[in-house]
Amino acid sequence: MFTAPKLRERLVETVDQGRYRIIVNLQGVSFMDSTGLGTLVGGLKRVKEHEGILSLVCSSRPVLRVLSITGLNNVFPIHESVEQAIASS
Amino acid sequence: MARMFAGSVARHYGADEDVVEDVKVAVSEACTNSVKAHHDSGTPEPIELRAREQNGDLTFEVVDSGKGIDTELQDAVQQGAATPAAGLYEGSLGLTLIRSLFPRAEILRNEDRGTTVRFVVPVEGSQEDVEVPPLG
Repeated sequence: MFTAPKLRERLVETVDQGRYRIIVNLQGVSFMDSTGLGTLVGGLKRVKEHEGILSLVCSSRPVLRVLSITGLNNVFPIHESVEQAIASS
Repeated sequence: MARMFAGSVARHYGADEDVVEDVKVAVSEACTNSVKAHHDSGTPEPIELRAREQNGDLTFEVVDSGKGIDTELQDAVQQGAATPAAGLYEGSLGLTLIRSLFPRAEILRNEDRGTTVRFVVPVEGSQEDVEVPPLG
């Protein structure tokens, strides 16, 4: 909730720099609510405008649960490690 | 802080860790909406977080004195129709999330002013009540 604005800023910046294939590493995130989800969805919309991709690295149960309950696990490719995310993108 | 406290209360009444995490998310969502409502309407009063256990039902309430939920949105959330497809994604995702986590959730317009979000968590608790002081 507190880090969402920073993430939003970073995503906007990255897309503005012309980088549209983004991996968001959520391994250090233990809690996420709709503010964080909204930020990720916002980032996804931005990269999609450029036919890009936004994938997540996440293995935290609470975060995965929120992604799953909102159906966003079907919207974002989710990987267990950054290496795996890079390999499949 | 509200979510930590709510999580501790749920844990105290025997909720397992997955449920404790769900409680934290639900309380966080409700409080975020309330804080926004107070901010938007310039309401200086505190927001209240209440928890009460009775007969194995742990009930949480987040009570604000903001401008109150829009009736159309309230109906949509109650009927489970506040979905991204319905164009009600923005601002209603939190309420939808609460209802997804805890089906026994209600969003009520207070008689005087503001909104109460109430949800019930089944626990194997005692009869002891826990009253949480208003959050500043």
